[in-house]
Amino acid sequence: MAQDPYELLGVGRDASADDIKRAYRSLARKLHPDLNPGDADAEARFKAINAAHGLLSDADKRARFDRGEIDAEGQERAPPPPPGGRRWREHADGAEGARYRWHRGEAGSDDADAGEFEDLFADYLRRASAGARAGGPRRGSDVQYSLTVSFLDATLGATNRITLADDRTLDVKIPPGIETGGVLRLRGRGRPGREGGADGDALIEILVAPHPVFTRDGAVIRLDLPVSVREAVLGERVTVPTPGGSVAMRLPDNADEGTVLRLRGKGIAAHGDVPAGDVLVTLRLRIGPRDAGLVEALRNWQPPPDAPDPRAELMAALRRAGGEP
Amino acid sequence: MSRIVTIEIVCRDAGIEQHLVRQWIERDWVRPDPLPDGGFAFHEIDLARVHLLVQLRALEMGEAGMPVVLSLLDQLHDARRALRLVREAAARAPLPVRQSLLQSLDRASASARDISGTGEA
Repeated sequence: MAQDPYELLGVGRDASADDIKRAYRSLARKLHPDLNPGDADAEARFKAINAAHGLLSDADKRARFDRGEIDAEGQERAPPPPPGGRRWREHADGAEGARYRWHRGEAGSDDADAGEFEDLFADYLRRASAGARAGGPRRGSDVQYSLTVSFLDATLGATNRITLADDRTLDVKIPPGIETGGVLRLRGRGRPGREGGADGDALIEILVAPHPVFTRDGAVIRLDLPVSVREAVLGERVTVPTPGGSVAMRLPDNADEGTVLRLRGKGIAAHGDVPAGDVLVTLRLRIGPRDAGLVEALRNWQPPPDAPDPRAELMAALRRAGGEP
Repeated sequence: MSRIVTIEIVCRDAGIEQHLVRQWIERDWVRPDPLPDGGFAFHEIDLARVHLLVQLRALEMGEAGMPVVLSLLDQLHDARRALRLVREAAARAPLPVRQSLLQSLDRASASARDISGTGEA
């Protein structure tokens, strides 16, 4: 068991941070293993004052130690039990006591009639209050459906018609931006209630079909856009498909392989207070077939001597990893 | 705020060996939340439960007697919790309902006295 860190450093519990630092330094100078070779006792004490200083020099840890939340080794301490045997009773009679509800048989055995005592009571009272009426009004149960929607419908919003279990059809409004696993609740479209009880709800779990070109990434839609060398170098206008239709975009001067451009408001349609989302376009450079003219032009072209090495970053990363070939 | 602690801290706090606590968990006498890594998260009530078991052990309650005592104890507390819920529900009820509840309680306890008074044994 570690000793009290204040005692170890020989300071009072109200010592200032400076007092603690001073006490630690003077002890460390005396007990340092280099000054006491072979002295196991000094080494042990040196370790102990280091640990004590580590605890007390951290204002947060020191405060927690003072409050008794952690011990001298910095370990969490369980809250001290209050005196007397009242503790279990307090817990067991509180709402959390349901954790230790009694049930017949061994753990894991099939005890379907486990003593749901509170439920029995509540049930009894409900029946009693329902009086002579058999059953009484009962809410209809919910019914679950799953619905696969296209990527574009999930992005822009749409209305899809589904056929319910009882052959009724239902128009489901797909809100823009819904993702796979999202659930739409249609009030009153589940099983009918009994004797004046409310109808249940239809719960529709949404599955969004993948799109061949667009992908969803949180609040944005991503798209890889192939561009030619000429388009990239000369910064030409290109046509970019978006979920809502194609738009024209001029490539910036410094466009390169992997450059990401943002098309504001061309992604997930606005819904509620959320404004329309963006499309992030990643440029993919395509050289294409070797045209004699291009080959000729490049052959006659000399990059300037100070042109950056396209592999500079790669080599730097290799060097940092200590694996220079 | 309630604190959650590990089995090591429970054992240090209660001054017992880990294998004992693990045995109690297997027997469903202590019910901490299982963690994905095979460990357990003890809430304050679980800590209190461990202390209760330590106290019962100190009374030299045999292994065979322990489940009987625990089951009676748990049923007693189930009943007390249920009673508390009924009491709270009654306290929230409108005055006429409370009065009629009181009257029927009086009648019920009077007839209980009558039965025991006739010496039905």
